[in-house]
Amino acid sequence: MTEPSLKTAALPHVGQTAPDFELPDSTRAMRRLSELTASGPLVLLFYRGHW
Amino acid sequence: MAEYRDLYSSLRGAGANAAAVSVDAPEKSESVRRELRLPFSILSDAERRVVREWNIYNAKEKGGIAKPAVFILNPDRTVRFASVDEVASRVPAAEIVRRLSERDLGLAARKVLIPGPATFFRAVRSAIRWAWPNRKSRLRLAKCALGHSAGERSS
Repeated sequence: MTEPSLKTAALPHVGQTAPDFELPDSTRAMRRLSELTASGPLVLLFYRGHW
Repeated sequence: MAEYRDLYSSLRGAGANAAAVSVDAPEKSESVRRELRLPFSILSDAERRVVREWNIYNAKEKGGIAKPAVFILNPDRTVRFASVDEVASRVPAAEIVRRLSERDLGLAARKVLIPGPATFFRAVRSAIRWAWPNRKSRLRLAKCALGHSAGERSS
């Protein structure tokens, strides 16, 4: 309610542990979420993509 | 994305890293990364596995895309901030930098790591209890210690 832009409850919610995942980066190197967060907080941006 | 690129040094300054996720193929993401000169990685969720699991999958558009979303995750992957939009807009990067600078959880963690006087006193007390289980000798020792610090305080 305090976030005017928040229209859908995301999963995971604040306070929950985000499920780990492994995805290829743009050079096809496999990257694990837990490795990206290891050295400090991570700002994770999901975007629509370009077609 | 460009906005986050422009504030990337502020994110790094707050001790954070950044990464992006889209459903584009890695090759497409690489051209986006070059075009926008992004200093962070773009991960490719071409199978829509993660966007479905995280409930940010928009099946109605262009064969299924990710909704614009921003998360701040702590090093243990606890979600510190989450925002999901239905449209193209997203949380301004400046807002994310502000939230990172709050360091609310960082401070809480530091409190545990660096013991304050109360923690130190409790540790000394439990050590005394362990070393001198006899109540009488314990009291004598406590009086001695407290008398010493009380004397220091009154002077």
